[in-house]
Amino acid sequence: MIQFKDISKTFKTKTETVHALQHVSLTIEDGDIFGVIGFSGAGKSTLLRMVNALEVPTEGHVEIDGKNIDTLPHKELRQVRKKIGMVFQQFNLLESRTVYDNIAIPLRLNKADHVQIDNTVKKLLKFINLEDKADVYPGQLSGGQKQRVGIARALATNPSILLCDEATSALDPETTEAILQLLERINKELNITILIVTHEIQVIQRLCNRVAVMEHGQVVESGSVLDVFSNPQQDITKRFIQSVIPDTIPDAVVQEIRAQKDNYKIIKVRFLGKKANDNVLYHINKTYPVTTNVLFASVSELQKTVLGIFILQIVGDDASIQQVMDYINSKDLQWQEVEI
Amino acid sequence: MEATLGVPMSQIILAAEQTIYMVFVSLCIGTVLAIIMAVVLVLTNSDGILKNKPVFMVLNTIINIIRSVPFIILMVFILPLTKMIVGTRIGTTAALVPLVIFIAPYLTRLFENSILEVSKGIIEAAQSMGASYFEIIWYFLLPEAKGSLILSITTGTIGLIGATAMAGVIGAGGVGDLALTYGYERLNTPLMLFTVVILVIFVQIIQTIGNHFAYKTRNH
Repeated sequence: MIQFKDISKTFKTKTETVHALQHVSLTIEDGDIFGVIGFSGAGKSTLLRMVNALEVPTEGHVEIDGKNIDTLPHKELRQVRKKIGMVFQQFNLLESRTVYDNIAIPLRLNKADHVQIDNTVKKLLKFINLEDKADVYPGQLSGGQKQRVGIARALATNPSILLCDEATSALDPETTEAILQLLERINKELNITILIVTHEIQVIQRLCNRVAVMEHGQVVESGSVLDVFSNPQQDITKRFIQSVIPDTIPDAVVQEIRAQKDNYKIIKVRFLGKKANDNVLYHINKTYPVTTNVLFASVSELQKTVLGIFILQIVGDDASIQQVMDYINSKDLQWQEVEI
Repeated sequence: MEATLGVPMSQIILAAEQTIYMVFVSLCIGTVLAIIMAVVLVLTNSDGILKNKPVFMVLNTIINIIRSVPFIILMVFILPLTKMIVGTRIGTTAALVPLVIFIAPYLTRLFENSILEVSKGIIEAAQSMGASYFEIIWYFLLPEAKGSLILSITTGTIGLIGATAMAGVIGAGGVGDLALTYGYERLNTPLMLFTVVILVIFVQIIQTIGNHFAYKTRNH
């Protein structure tokens, strides 16, 4: 378990003081794939680097399994770091060493013997599916291959936590997907807690079970990916999520509706999980003296759960519309009125 | 051949041996000292992982001072120190002291740049693996800087050959001294030309070897 306890970080330069983090508190449970998202400069990388004390907070502290790592002597801190793997946006592989030697380095630092090193490296090469590249230098690898080597290196000491600093941001979408699948396997098969910071909402949607949204050094929203994605509260969160799960009426449709003279109400309804399968629309149309038009609909998958978003125009007299609203309320669905 | 050059061949060979001896020994000692000093500079500078302003300032200033003194002046200025260390003020071995003191700060600057070229991300990766400061230097910084360090040593060696020409002043001999005393002072133009050709060949060989190994470490 990683706990950030009321963390603040201030960088002082000659001309200005930068508040990189302000009173951040977060808890990451064992087994989580926890995503931190924000634009660049939001402080997310600084936060990540506090887990292995590459950055030290100005105020507050970080606890790993209840142990405050900011007060550890350097020697003990090094032992803690050996149990935390780290993956970088720019890979940071040693260009002067082969793939094999790059993966072996953490083991050599641990004074492991040759047999142990050989076994572990071969196992990891197999895990990342790069067995044929053992004797190749990083300069000859593609970005995705380099990142897989970076991941294997991070796993070499059998860590319980993996930190990913924009691990996919330098990769194309297809390679990103392959890396995300690998990270997912690491979490499931090796039972490693993953903390990933990114500015790509797709990464969160695809990989994480929990998310924190950061802006100007503060966590503005956090929770399970399902909750946050299905019901975002903050503007920045809504903007991020809209880019992968759009929920606005197309302009052309808006123009059309504005020209109509009918009495109507427009609502945005979110269905989660099994509710998405219930035939709510069918029931409304059949039971109440109204017509419903679907102005927009999207169905996405999050954490193996279906999230449906519908924007409905309910045309009818006020009393009938009210009846429909009562029915929707009784179904315990999230909805909000949309103004156009 | 001997008739054209006006000196016995054995003297030319001795001069070449003296030059090679001076360059080789002072280069070895100078490189070790320079690596240590360059690492200290990189670690203690304001972006370094062992930031230490006093240490950096003192070392940096000493290097700058030594580097501002021309070699020929440095050589005579430190004669008492030379006597203390090697027991004599003259001869080939005596020249090693000023040569080391000359080349070490020069190489330090070149090495410092080579090591600074290693991306900060590499240091960060090393730290994240729980590497000690020594391990960061030994397993990460120096191997990654290797190609560039080899080129720096090459440049340093060629600078050193230039410096040994002046070592004749304290009786160190060498190819440069041969050119000056026999070629210049006795107006022996063929000998002068011959030594110049020899020096050019020396430098070419060293640069070629340096480039070759730097290329080999850099291009995988």
